[in-house]
Amino acid sequence: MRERIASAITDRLYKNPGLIALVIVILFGLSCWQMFKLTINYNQLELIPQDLPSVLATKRMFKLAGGYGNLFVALRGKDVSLMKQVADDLTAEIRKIPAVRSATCRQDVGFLRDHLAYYIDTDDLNEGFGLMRRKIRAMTREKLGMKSADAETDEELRRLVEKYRNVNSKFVDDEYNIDPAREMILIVIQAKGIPNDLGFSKKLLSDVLSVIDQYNQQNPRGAKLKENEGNGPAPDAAITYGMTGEYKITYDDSTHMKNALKPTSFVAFTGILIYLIILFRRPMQIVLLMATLVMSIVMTFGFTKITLGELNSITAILGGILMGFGIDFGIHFMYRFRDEYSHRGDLYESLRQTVLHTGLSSLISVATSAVSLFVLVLARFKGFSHFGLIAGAGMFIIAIMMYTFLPAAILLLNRYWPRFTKSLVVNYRKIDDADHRNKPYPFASAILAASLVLTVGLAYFATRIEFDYDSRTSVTGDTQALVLQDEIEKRFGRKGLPSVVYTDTLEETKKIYDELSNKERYPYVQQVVSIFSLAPPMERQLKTRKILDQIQERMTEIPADLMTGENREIFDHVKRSLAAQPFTLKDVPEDLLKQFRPVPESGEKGYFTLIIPKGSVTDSKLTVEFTKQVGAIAIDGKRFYATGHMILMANLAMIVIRDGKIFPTLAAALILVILLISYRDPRALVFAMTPLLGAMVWMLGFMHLFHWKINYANIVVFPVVLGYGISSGIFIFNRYLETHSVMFALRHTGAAVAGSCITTVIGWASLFFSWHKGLTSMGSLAVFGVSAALLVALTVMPSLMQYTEDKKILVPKSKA
Amino acid sequence: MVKRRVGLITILLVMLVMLWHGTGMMAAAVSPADQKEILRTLTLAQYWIKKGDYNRAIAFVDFEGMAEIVMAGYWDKMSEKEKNEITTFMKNLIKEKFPIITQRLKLLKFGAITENGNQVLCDTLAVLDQTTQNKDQKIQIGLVKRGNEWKGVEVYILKEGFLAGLNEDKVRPILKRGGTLEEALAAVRRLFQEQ
Repeated sequence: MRERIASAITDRLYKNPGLIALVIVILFGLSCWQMFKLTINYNQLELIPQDLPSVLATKRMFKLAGGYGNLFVALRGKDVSLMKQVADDLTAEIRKIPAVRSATCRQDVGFLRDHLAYYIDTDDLNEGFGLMRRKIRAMTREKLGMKSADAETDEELRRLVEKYRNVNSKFVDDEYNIDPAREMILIVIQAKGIPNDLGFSKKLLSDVLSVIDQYNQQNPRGAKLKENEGNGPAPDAAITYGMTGEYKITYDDSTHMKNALKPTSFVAFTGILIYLIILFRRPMQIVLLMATLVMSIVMTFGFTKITLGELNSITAILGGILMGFGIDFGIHFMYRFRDEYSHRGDLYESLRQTVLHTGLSSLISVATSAVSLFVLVLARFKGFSHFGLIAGAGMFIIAIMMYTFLPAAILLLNRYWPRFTKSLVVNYRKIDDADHRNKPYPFASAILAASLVLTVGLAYFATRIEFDYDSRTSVTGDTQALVLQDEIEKRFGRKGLPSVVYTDTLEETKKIYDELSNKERYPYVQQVVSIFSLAPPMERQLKTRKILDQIQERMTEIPADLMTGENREIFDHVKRSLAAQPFTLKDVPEDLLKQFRPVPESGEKGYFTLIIPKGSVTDSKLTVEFTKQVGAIAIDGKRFYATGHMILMANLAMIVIRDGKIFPTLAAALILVILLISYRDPRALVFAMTPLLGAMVWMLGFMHLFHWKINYANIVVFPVVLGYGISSGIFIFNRYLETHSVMFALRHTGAAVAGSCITTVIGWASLFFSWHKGLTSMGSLAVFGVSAALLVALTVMPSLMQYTEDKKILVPKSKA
Repeated sequence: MVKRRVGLITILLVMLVMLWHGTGMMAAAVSPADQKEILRTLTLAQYWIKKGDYNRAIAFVDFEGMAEIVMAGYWDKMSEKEKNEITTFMKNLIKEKFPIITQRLKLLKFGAITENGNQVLCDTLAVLDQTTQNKDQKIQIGLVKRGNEWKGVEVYILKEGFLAGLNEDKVRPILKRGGTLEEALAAVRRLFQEQ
């Protein structure tokens, strides 16, 4: 049956090499045309399903708020009054940028300051009153000659004061957005576009930068501004500035990714070329292999344009990887073909034998590899599904090209340049002599025992592998914008980017506010900022008033002339705040209220509620828990969806983790089914699966020993290693089945298997040149996995075959 | 017309009754005789302090009352022996520190006297701490009647009782976490020693 198929292929296809070559060249030309139209979408958030409620809510939010996210310009300096003047000047100029909806560096906080006491939790207020009394007693004792160093009360009071310096995300002791250390002022910019629109973000960032540049050249204050280069305040500048926020972070990440990917394909191509020169040492064979490979890659990208329309941040790396992965078929083809031709001297028969034996191995190999990739198509995360489709299709395209175009090219070359075939003849004398000696694989039992011990040991560590929830390990890394974002979070006590819920009516807004304010039910929520947090419930305000009355009574007995300088000012503020009477929403200034309302052009009249999380967006574990709590809030049977960068990132994380668990398992199951169908002998599975299982255990075990973790980027490597691990074993195993000689199989396929592994490693290793944390972690993991597969295929697998051959156990009878 | 007059008189009568009872309830009345006696006590104490005769001045202090305030919340559960121990402790402590305390808290003028629970409070103008000379401070002195004599038990500065503060800040937390009486008293002594 197999012989008939092999004969049919060689008869039908290879009799008309010109036609085959012509068809492929036309396809290649069309693919080139399509490939040049291919674009890369670096927006990671578009990789999650667009029909998710949180995504739809985010799209609606864009309409309501006229955009989402902020751009922060951080000014850092030592002269506070100069910083404030520069902040005012720059804010006025930034407001003139057409893409800017609003820019602020200060807000009138008089109302909040005067009514501060009403924003304090009554428990905290009682605690504060208690601490105040304790402080009075301690001071009295001190005045009476007892040194009652009461550092504990001071510390508790400081903590309480610090907690309420910030009311509804606004510092009440200064109208400027200035940090407590008074070293940094923030200009908060709201734009008319979304951060994920990279073209918009690029223009916005460039416009803001040119405003700063222009101001730097001719500002009336004589202030010299310098961009922060990551090494703290510039010594020769009065003010150091930097930009961060969603617009900057998203744009930086995509730009870094774009730049990171540029060298990878080139490095992979050059690396593979150099390796092939070392392996084959025949220029024509190398040219043929590389030409076929490049054409296949181009056709894969043409296919991508037609089917998916674009690449994404994960599939963009596929060029180099497919080169390394796909050249395997060419190497195996060329090795076997040279072997056959060197022994037979008949081009057609050699091709027939190659198709018959290596072709079948390649078919099983491509089927298992492609299945492990195609199964990813079912994933909800587009990073996986697109990767699976393109890589799976790419594998098929490369395999088909290696068995159609490559033989056609050899036949055509032979037709027009008969001397070419001489270059195909290789001296196999040494190999043939060794075949005649028919020696067994040495130290089989020892290798088997040692590898078993090693595998069991590594399996122990493999089970301890952890998932890295810090999303920075899978993105660019610590860019200046991210470092600045960290600094802002630390300086201003803002832990994470707020998420937003939109409600249509005041009644719904109140219910959402009450619901989310339940700290026991929402432990991951740090603060809820709503129109209602501006006017706390009257019942609470009256309770507060009672406590304030008590405090006021004490305050009146403190002689005012005891206070001097700054203390006098604070004393006056406190007195004013204590005297403020309960108030309603109507008393709150419009300037404070408008931040909770949609932009007028949206035509909507509802309200926003801001939910501030307890941690940073880079801590995915926290973002996931936070999103599970506030992502969808059900009130009176109606569901309200929170939106924002954090929610979307958490959805991404949840989908990636879910898909990352399901699909490698599914791929493994399908590989098993294919192998069962191919060999129709369960014993064969033991051998074919050995490199795969060994590679996985060794890879995970070593990962743990090297303190590496699974992350959002490298999780995609697992199905690839599954597919690759199986493919390494199949070529050796099939050759072994032909003669039942382990050494024969290794001599004739070992070099090709090693060669194909090394080229695959080169493909993945090209990612190291990206200097991108996520891509590097993918590359490292794949290099580890593929190398482990090669090591197992060349040591453990032959030992196992030799051992079972010697002991006459588990010997597979069927020849695939 | 007659009806209106009757109505008006009734309302006025009711108001008068209310006012009579109201003032009775609001003002914690201290009889003029007691007021006189209290002022005499305080003036005498002030005099002996000025003279530097602390032994005579201290005769107007009630140590048992002081011990009761310091041990508030636990006093009733204590044995007579323990109560005596603490009273002696307070007596020794106050005797020892009286000169320093009175140097730093100079009483200037005595004012209104009102009743407050089991104590009467005498509003007093004082100078607290040498560093803030000439900064008058309104304080209250708490007194209790022992037999026929009025004796001082507490000083209230900004409405915070000095001895009640010792109870709240030191004694109570130590006893609450299961500490011993000795530990609590040692903590109080440490406060007084840390001058």
